[in-house]
Amino acid sequence: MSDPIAITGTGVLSAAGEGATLLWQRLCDGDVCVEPVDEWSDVSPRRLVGRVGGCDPYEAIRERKLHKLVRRGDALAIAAVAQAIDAAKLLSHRDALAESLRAEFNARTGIFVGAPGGALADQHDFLPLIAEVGSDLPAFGQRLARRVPPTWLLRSLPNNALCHIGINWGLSGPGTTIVDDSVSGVLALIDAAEAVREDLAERALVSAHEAAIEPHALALRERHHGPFTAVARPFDESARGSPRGEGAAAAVLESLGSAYQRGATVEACYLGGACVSSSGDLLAAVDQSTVERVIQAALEDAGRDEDDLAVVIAHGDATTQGDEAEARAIAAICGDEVPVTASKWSIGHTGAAAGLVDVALAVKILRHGVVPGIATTSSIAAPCRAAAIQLGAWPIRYGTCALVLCHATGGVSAAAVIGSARR
Amino acid sequence: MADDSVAGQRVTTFRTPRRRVGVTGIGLVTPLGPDAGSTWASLLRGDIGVRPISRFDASGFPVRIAATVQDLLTLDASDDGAAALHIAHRFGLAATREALSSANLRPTPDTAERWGCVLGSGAFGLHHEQLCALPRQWAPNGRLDAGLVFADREALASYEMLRQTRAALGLWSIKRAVGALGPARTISTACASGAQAVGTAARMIRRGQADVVVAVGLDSMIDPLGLAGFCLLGALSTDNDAPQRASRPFDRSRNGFVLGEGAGAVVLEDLESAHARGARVFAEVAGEGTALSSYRVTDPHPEGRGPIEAMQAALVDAGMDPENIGYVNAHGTSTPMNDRSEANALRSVFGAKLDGTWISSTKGQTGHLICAAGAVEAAITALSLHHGRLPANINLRERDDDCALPLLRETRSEYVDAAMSTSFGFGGTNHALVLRRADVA
Repeated sequence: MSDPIAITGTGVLSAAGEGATLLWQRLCDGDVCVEPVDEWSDVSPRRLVGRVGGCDPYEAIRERKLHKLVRRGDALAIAAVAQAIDAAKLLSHRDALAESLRAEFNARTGIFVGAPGGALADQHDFLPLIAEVGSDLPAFGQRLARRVPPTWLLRSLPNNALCHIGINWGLSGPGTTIVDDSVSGVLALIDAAEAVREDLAERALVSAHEAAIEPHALALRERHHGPFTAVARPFDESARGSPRGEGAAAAVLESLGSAYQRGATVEACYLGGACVSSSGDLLAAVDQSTVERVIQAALEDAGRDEDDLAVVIAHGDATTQGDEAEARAIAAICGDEVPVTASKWSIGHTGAAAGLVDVALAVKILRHGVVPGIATTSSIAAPCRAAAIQLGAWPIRYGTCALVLCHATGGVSAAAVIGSARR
Repeated sequence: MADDSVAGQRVTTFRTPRRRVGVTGIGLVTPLGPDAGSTWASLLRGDIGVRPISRFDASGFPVRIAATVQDLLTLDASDDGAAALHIAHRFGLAATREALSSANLRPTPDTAERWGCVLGSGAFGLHHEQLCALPRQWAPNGRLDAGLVFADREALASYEMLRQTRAALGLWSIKRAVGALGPARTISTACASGAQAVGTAARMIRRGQADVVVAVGLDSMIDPLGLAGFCLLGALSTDNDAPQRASRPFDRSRNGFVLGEGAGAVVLEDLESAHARGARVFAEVAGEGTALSSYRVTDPHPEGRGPIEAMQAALVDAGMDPENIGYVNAHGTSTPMNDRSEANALRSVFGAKLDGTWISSTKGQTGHLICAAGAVEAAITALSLHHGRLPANINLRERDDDCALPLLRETRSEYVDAAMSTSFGFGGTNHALVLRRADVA
């Protein structure tokens, strides 16, 4: 059993709006937040996506001259970190320190980011040049500097958010960027928590992001999934996949000692996590035994068992095989009474951000004591009925922990156990 | 754990002995050779892997040289399982297979869940020809029209084209080749990726998350779009007429780095288990440290802020002092700013002890392998400790006064007890590894 790590702030930007509490509230209210894209009015049938609206994420970046170096997904990550830092009252604490202690504060703050690791749209910056020169490579090389921004490579770096989070707040502790699709955010969380446990950092910011709402990537996905024209119905008989969403999440992790010493409010605790692999084909859905293994490993790392669980937040991406594997595994390990919920039905599949979005949701579920249901699901598929799939909001009756599950293409699964601060 | 403060540095002491980690397998695919043996021999001979680009017509680019992997046809592409694999993934697969063979170790059904994989990799996008092949009518003005794309999506290549652009594809191919069912990660921190992969893999073993972890750094940006990105930044040497001299770390006349490609793979193993099975141990991963510069996206901090903290953290993690380090395989990219910043950082960390430490950058011979560099150089550092041969800093004619370091002008025969390998990435992620010779307690 490992030491709990305090979570003192969270941040979320998703189609549900700004903040983890708003996400939790809208899920409890049964709000479907994916909608057609206004700019694609000539696309028929209309595609649903989960877009972050109503805010300018670039406002979180202090130096305006840096805005041109930051793509939207990275900006979302920075904005989510700004929320989390604000919620944790981290800057007011730092600013009250003596100058020498401020420097130590910065050096003892790590940054761990989950990122998509590749975006098709980055390469579209070359299309104007290609439209001009076709496949003529010498001409491509000669006219390159006139037609492509000099900062193209910098803007496309997978670790760009990590870089700018550090610069924006002057933080210089250990840091990394993990790029494993849907598990990126939870892997970043696990590694951040281990860094705090091992005293490599006193606190760590964790962030995860993805903003891939663009026609090229979506059209390619549709070659595999079919058109994203309907809302997701996880664990439903009619499950046909999830529309894509953009989003970002963040959390502030601290040693409990650090949090108590500065009088921070501990929202919840990270108790443990795990990552396992499967041997399937690249596009194979996750299998039951892999989900069982990751649940067992995460509970073991957290020093908890299934009786401690108040809720399971499943990956729940509304794919028939994936849903079935998850439901069967949850039932096998956790039993048929722990409420199982998900978030993609409302905000879409936020890719690399998805797992950390669900961690932030777990924090709010544990704080408010109510588990949102899956409002779009009406008839649970027979193979999924062994698990307690939650269709409506439900008060927590027992248990003090939330288990968050996520799975990535290529056969990597991750899980995190979040504990109530009240315990 | 308990903390003590020694000379202003935080030192973590573990109440229970932590697991030690050994390097028991090495695989390399580099511009110097298609395997570890040929790369090592070539390195010691002083060969240079930089040559004119012949893989595509680079005649219109301001830079027309690179350190390319030769003998591409020898790469086994028969069992990769996915048509979308990038050439860098094939480098990684070849290095991984060699590392496993070198370690003489494979997972079994009973142990596979205790095997992990960590990749250091960039993101690989579409090839230039794939962009050119997009239906011209979709982007008549160079900008995609959503209505046209969705209406004509059947014209798109397969879904695999999307997977091709995601870093996770590489991890899938490597862990499939290894047969690992344990923890896995892909780290992408630009030029620090490969080194962080090795450091993260070592920590997985120490933490008890896995018993054996294969760490791989892989990269290739020697294609029209990759080369374009670096040309736009102005980071590359333009010495097109003198490719053999183009990469010259710490030299007064250096003018940029040379793009390289390849892969490095190491099998890391719980040292006790490795000894128990009688494995050859190249070196021990004694410590690792990472820190952010938080300065500028491309420019390193002039005084070495970030690299200093990463090196100090690695030393603390290894429980060593600078005087314990006999050799540093420096990041040494051959750009004016990096080498100056790194020299300042080394002087700051090592102080007067610098005179007892040999330093070289091997990028003069290999070029800069970007996301693969840290893993390749970790492997070279392990081989240096194992064989008692320290590679030279090639192409050093006149050392820059701002880089006053004890640089190796020739390969040196000396068994040192411990060595450091440094890696600093665009975006300000800095990493240092400390390796200990296997027969040093």
